[in-house]
Amino acid sequence: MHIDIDRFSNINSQFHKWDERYKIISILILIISFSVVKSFYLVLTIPILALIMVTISRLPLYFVLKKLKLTLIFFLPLFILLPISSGGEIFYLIVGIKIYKIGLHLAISIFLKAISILICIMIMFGTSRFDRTIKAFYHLKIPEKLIIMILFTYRYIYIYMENLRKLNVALFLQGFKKTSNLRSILVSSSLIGNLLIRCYDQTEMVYNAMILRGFNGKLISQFRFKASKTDLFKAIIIIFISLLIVGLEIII
Amino acid sequence: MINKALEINNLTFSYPDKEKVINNISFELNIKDSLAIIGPNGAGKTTLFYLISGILKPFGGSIISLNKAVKYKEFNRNIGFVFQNPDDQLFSSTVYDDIAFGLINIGYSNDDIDKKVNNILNRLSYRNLIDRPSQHLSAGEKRMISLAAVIAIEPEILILDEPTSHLDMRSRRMLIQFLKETHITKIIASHDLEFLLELCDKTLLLDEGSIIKYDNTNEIMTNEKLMTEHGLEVPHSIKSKI
Repeated sequence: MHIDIDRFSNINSQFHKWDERYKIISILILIISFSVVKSFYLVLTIPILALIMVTISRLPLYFVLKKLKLTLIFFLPLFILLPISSGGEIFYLIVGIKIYKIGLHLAISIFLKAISILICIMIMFGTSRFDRTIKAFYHLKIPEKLIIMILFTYRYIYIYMENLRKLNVALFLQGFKKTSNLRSILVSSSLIGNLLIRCYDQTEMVYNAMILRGFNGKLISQFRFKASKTDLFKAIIIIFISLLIVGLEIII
Repeated sequence: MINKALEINNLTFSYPDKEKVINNISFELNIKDSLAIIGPNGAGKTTLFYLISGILKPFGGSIISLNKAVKYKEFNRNIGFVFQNPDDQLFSSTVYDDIAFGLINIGYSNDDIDKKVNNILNRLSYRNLIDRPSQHLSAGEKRMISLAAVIAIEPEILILDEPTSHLDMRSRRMLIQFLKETHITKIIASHDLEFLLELCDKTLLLDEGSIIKYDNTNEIMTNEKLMTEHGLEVPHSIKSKI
């Protein structure tokens, strides 16, 4: 199962070659500029910009869209509820249900902004190896405890996914089929419970392993980043675009 | 002058659901000796390792390692423990970081860490894995990298729990060679008796938490009656000579 966000980190693109520290700062500024946009017409241009960035980064579009799939599910209720509950000017009437213009605009705005921001985050994490991005965060003085938590979460997701896969295979080999009956629910909940206990036990063992190697709160080894003028130039371009978006927002 | 690597006296331990997993055991081990710990499943081998390394607190008795009492959950640089499951031991994002972890904690400079990590990977012929994410390694590679991570901090006593599990024949041979060239005290628990026969001069037979026999490896492993009584088999290489 491929859950790596950085599985295309070995491609050669301007984003891939960019010093991670500059990339993080620039993309974060761009994300902030995306989030402050309120003008509907400007909101429509944001995803185009995000897609241009995907093209430059050479990340496969199917990979980006696949990662966005879950977000679409998350935004579905918002898309249904906001247009019918916001009130104001009626935009359309479908089988007696009023679709409000403000609600529709708001739903589209939130959706497009969220998708664009997520694409930016994906470019930030997807164009460098995960450990390098995390080390860049460390260099940018993000608290080490937070970084350790992210690293552990990322590292152990693999193991728990693998455990879950093995348990599912074991169930399948014993003739179990997931249905909606009570037994199926009980077996599935027992499987999740089993997985949680395994996770807990493993957490204990990992902590023991850390103590045995003298853990004193430090986990991150130093990485020597080398920034060039090109890195700075790329940062200036992205920050300029961010300021332009904010400027246009103020003018409009 | 210290000549005892390990002195265990009247060691006792029980789990809440299992009494006397370690039942009043005592033994000594000289510096640079290699000790094999054998016994059937549930004999208490892994629990004994947890006690020696300080992961578990004994109910009674004492453990002295190189004239220093082993304390519960306290870092002891003299003792390196390679777990049975390498996924418990490799928690960093890359192989480099996993090996560097202990060295950072000890306080080595970045240059020294670089040198030591490269050196240990070269010794194991795994230099090509240096930047690989630990989660992407094969089971055998994980086993060897977890050994490298422990060896990097240069312990005086190396404890290995089932080191040959998940290893193919080539890696197993490489591990034997590596351990032969590593001149420190070694305590190894394994069901791979041929492996132990090659590496360990002394053997401790453990069953139901008690020491059944502590003797030279050949003495114990050639004793068919003793081995069979405790759920073990005489290794093929010895059998063929008898």
